[in-house]
Amino acid sequence: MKKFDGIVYFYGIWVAVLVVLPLLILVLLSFTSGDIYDLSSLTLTLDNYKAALDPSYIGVMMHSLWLAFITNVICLVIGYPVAYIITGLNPRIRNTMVLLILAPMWSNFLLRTYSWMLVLGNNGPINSVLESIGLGTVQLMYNNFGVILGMVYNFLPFMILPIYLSLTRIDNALVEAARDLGATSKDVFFKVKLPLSMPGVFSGTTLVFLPAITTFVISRLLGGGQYVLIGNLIEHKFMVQNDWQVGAAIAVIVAIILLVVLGVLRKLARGRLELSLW
Amino acid sequence: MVKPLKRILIGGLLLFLYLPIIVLALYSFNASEYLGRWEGFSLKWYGALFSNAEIAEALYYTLGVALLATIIATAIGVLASIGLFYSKAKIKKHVMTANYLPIVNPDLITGISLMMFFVFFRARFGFSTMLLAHIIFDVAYVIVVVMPKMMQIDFAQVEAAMDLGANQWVIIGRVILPQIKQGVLAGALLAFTMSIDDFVISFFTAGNRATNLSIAIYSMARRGIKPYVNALATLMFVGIILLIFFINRINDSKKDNENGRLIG
Amino acid sequence: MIEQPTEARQEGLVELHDISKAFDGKPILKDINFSVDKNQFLTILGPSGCGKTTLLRMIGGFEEPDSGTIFLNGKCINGVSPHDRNINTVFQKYSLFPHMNVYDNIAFGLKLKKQSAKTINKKVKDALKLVSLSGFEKRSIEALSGGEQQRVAIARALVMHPQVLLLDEPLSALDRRLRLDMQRELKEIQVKAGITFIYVTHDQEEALTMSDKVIVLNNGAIQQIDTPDNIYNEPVNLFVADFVGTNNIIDGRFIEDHRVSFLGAEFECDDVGFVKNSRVHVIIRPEDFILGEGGKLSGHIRSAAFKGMVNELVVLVEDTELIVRTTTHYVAGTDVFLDVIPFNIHVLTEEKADEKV
Repeated sequence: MKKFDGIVYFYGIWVAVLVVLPLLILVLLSFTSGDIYDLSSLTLTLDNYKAALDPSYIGVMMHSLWLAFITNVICLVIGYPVAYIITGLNPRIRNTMVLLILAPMWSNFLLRTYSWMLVLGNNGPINSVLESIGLGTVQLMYNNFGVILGMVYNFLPFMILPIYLSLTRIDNALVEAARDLGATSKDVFFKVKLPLSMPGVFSGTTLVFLPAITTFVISRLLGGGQYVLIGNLIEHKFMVQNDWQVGAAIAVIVAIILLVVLGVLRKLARGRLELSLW
Repeated sequence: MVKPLKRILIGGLLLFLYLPIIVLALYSFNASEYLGRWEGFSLKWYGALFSNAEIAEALYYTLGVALLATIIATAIGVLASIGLFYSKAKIKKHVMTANYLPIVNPDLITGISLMMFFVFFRARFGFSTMLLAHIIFDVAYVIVVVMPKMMQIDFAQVEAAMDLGANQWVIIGRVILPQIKQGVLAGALLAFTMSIDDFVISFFTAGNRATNLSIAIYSMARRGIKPYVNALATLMFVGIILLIFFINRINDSKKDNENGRLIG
Repeated sequence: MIEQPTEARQEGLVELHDISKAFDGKPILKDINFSVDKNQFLTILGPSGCGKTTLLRMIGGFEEPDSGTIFLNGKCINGVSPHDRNINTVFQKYSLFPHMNVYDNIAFGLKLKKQSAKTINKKVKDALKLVSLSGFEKRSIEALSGGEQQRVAIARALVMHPQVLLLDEPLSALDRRLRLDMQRELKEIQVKAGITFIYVTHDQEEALTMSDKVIVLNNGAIQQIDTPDNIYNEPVNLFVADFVGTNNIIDGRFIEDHRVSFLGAEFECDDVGFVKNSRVHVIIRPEDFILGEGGKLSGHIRSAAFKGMVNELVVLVEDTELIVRTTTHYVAGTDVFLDVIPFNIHVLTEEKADEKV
């Protein structure tokens, strides 16, 4: 048995070098100035954070948080009833439904988002219909609506699935016990099912909120070139301006906010937070 | 809830989920180059797709990286899971927590941190950096899928096999692997779809020498997307759907999987 | 809570008339008839899959019979939902609400009844006292042992003051020591609370120690309804004889009234009314053999095992292995004579009890 212990250490080193170390490098970078290709030129500084806390960046940050919050609320309002309905279906249909909800997620994220450009565009089917009935063209994308819709579309399954899983895990005997003690259907839902599915709600919130706040593809495609979320800002710093150190500082601030959100959700879920659908 | 309301909600959801895919597929058969106009059925965009060298190269990068990353990540993931199975509860817990990092971490953070990592070690950006990045997140997914199956194995089985004279390799081959087979398959499939799906991490780790489909479409989205992309998207979606239903069918006929979670 | 009228009546508190039930065309229960009296401890005993849990769930209102009627207090309760029956259930795995503490679990039903906080407080306190868990109010369910969870489940049901408490194998998840303690406690609680218990189990020892009345169920049909004493000593058919207690079931021949032969010898017995010279089964309890220097049967002790108070021997007589219990010490490999007094010989045929005259 000793023999196989070794694999764990190998994997531990793998994670340390390829997962943890890159994150550490990012954090270290955010505290330095100088040329990254010349390690001796690097000096410690807080200037990157000063730059990252520029009021206009903070505005972008707030806007991103707000959109992620709205997206999350919409996903929850749609996702919970859907998950609840699916749980009540008979097992065969249930599995098919889950598969149908997940299937679009297995295609390519970029194609998925791009396809909404077709649907929402001025020449797209929705506007064609609106125009043919004389309502004229409506601007459906390159605005908050388009971005939120794109985020809901991409992240909704991540809300539905954890809630669905936590609902299916509720032992039916608990429902029977509640009924036995005088609970009506409404009581059963509010006093047993809802509280017991809250870990699913918190897991779903984690899985929606984290990617929603950092996305830059959805905002670029459905928000247009001028539309800036915190993700776009970071992407711009890294890929266009090559201002890696300030980019790293902004990313670290975002990561800290996410950690706080995650910590709160973890607390709320009382250790039942599941961080993956799979 | 009232029944019609349930139907409307579920129907509305499915419409929402599939509307863009349907629109995409319709446009891919449209003879017109302009979106708003329907000029009759045509396969010309499929023709244009197959004769497009840029797309062929992007497809090569996407599929090549996905296939290689899946194979390598599955091997590493299964080995790591076996190691975890044998290790102490405390170590198991810490390693599993660390394993969640690439999964929970937003792609953007993973992407830029790997980019800086490669910069730091003076790596030459291209196919190999993208491949390594994919392997890193794929391994995490493989382990997350395989470990629950692994945990269902009672460790006493291993002890019983040892008691009956099996050596460690026999135990892995005859006792452990057969029981986690489904998990390994599901893990590999998930890794593959995650690779195909990925844009963000590829974007930051590919450099400008390697352009996979996602990157190609992203750069196109700024310049205006050509209609053959609709054809490509349609083919990819149909391909993935077929793959998933095919694998699910195999599993269905083998054994009723719990809650359709094998793939999910 | 509404007090039910308590005037004397002919019928039992709960009565089942001709209950049948099938799942997917497979009959689970066939023509079940029985009644339970007030304050009675009734046990439904049978192997797994015999339909006993379904039967209990029907009384609780979680399943509906395909045909037949269930009466509570002389009123038909078919189709009445679980919470409208004055019956509560202690579920097999307790089914305590994991997101509530002990107090909230027990208060759950009372709160739904909108009772005042003061009343609820008092009732929960009393219930906890009854199950010897005073002071456990704030504990979380996950922090309780199996036995404690069990008691909370009982308290949660008892606090509703049901006329009948249904218990579905409530002790099966506990280890043996705890099970024995809980058996005694359950009986005490039943007497103290003064309500009717209908208890389902596959454990014959449980059934015999706690019950006033036992129903033995097999393949969806009632085999015997009787006192624990009679179930043990006078099994009406082979199934009951085999299922309840360790019995020796020996092939024999019924010579005439009061005479039966088995294992090459003739014995006097108390049984009458079987067909003369017919093949019968002879049931003899392991503790009913008399061992000694002389006797009608001669055997060879195959093995001897010390089991607490008694020695359990396997004795080979002719080609039949008999299980014999004795307080005397014997060694494996020696020969021994056995005898049985007429009272301890019990004759059965394959057919059911009612066909035996």
